[in-house]
Parts: sequence; structure tokens; C-alpha cells
Amino acid sequence: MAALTATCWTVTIEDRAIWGKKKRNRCKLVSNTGARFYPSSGGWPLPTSLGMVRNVDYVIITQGLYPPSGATGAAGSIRWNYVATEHSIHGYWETGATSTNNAAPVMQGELPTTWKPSAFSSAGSSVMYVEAVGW
Amino acid sequence: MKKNRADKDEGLFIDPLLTRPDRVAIVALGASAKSFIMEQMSNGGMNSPFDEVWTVNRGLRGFVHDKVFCMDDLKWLEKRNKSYANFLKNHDRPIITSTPYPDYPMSIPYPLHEVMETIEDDIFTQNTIAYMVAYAIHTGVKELTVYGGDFVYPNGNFSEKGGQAVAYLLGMFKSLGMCHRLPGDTTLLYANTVKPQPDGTIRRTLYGYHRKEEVAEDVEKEKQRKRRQKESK
Repeated sequence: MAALTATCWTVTIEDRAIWGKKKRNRCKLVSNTGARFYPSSGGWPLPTSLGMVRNVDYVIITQGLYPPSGATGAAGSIRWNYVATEHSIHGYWETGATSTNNAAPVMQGELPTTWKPSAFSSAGSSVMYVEAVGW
Repeated sequence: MKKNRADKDEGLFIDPLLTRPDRVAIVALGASAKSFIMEQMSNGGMNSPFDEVWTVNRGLRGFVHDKVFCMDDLKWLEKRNKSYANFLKNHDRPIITSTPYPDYPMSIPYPLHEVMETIEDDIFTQNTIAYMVAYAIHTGVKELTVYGGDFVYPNGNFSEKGGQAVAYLLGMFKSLGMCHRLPGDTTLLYANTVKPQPDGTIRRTLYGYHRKEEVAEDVEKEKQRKRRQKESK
């Protein structure tokens, strides 16, 4: 099973700014493949530069890939965490809230290697927004 | 590094634009460039204080360098100075310029639009040194030393265009957490006026406050005048 890589993203830099001593780029990342699977280790790598000239210090996820409307339970939510040392994102299932139960979400294990972006096939759900900070 | 862009299979020769040095020396052609030479020659340990040395125009003949910035259009230059153009055609170091031409194999386009996006101002387009400082900001150089960027000369009435742009960019450079260094003999940012002060610090003289010394001198002179007047009676 081919794993997701940094090239599975299409990047658009929607806004650039220098705040203080850092450049901050708002990046739109579109998951452009449904045929690859979540990697067995190291998370899903992000594109290297994200519009930076020199280096990315860190990334703030402002909108993760999200499930289709109406999805609940195990398919209901994924929490995305950025890991700077790997420059990748790790996804964790969250369960809890349903239409009849307003329980707080509980983080489950990391996404299985059988998960692929096509699980979130609707157009809006394949888009992630991040703010890259660096130079 | 490949000498000839024609050796490449396809596309523009831009590899030298991908380097990201931390410590850079810009060696321009003003009088304070001699500080660069003196520092290099007196560097007994022969260590490398700079990751890259960038020079300007004919500085390529005088200074060992990693890049030369020559923003004049090379075809324009060719019509006016054929021997200089021939030198550039045969040069073995990257020539960063406004428009690259195939018969100048080492010519590389200056990333104007990208730098403009970083600087958010066209102030850097006023002379070649300003282009270089802006490029240093764009690529995140951490420590930049500018030799030979004098623009005005002490006790003279002559100034060159572009000094204000370079000064502005160096201020911007510092505000972004980057560090710039200037030799003690350059007039850029009045670095040549930095000297040991009576309070033990080494800095520029504080305009206005330095009048206090003159006032004290005046008082002392007046005292002496009165003393001499008294003695002569």
C-alpha cells in the first residue's frame, strides 16, 4: 500500500506577512489523492517550503481535514497534530459526540494504515488550512 | 558547480540562488572595501568569517567571491564596454543580474518579484548594493557585513545615489532580528564616527548632548581670560 507523502498536497499561499521577526504564510493545502494510505510511522509529511525561502520553524493548523456532514461516532472526527521534528501531521480519531449524546470527544489511537483521504471525499473536506511560520 | 549553463539539460541556471548562507560579506567598491582586504590578510588563523562573499560589478577582479551582482543589463553594458563584457562572459562565478543571456553562461536572474514580496517596497531597486541587501533579507541572512558601501565621503561634497536605500534596508534588516556589521571606516550609517567616548562607551557622538562639552570649554576659556586679565593689572 503506497503511503501518503508530501507530494500528495497541492499548496496555495493565500496570504503572506512579516510579523515581528518572522514570516507567516497562510497556506491552503488540498489533499490531491485518494489512492494512498496513512503512513505506518512518522505521520503525513507536509510540503517542505510552504512558501518560505529559508526554513519553516513550525506550522499552526487552523483547519484540518474534516469528515463529511452528518458523520458520527468513529468516523466523526479526526484531531490533527503537527510534529515539528518530522514536519508532518499526525491524525488521531476522536469519538464521543453523537446526535443523542453530547459527550466530550475522546481521543482514540492514531489513524490506521487503512485510512486514506478519500474517506473524506466531499470537496470541502479535502482542504486543510495551516499557518506556516519561519523565513 | 557547473561552469556553463549550457551544460544543463534544460531550464534556467538558478542553483546559486538556492544557497542560504548565515554569514555574508558584501564587498562593494567604495573606499572602505580596503577594510575587507586588511581583515582577510590579517586573519592569521585563516578561518572563514563568511559563508559567502558577494561583490559588485568590477569587484569581481579584486575580491575572492562566491557571487557577483551586476544589475546593469549585460547587453547594454556590452555596447559600452566590450572588454568588461568579455570578462563577464568568461567568468566562472554566478553573475546575478537583471536579465540573463545565453552568451553569459553564468548569468542568473535576480528574483525581483520574490524579493519585492518580502520587502513590500521598491526602495531596494535604486542601486546594486540595495538589491544585494534586499536579497540578503529575502533569503534570511543572519549576519551581514557591508564593506565599501560608503556613498558619501568624509569632508567631501560628493555623494553617490542609493545610500538612503541601503541605510533604510539595513534598518529593516536589524528590525527583523538580523545583524549587520560595518567597518569602522565607512560613512554608511556614520560608522566612521564611532569612537571611544568619555563615559567609556564606544559609540557615535550624541548630537546636541555634545554641546555640553563645548559649554564647559567656553566656561574654562572665560575663567582663563579673566585670570590673565587680573594678572596683567
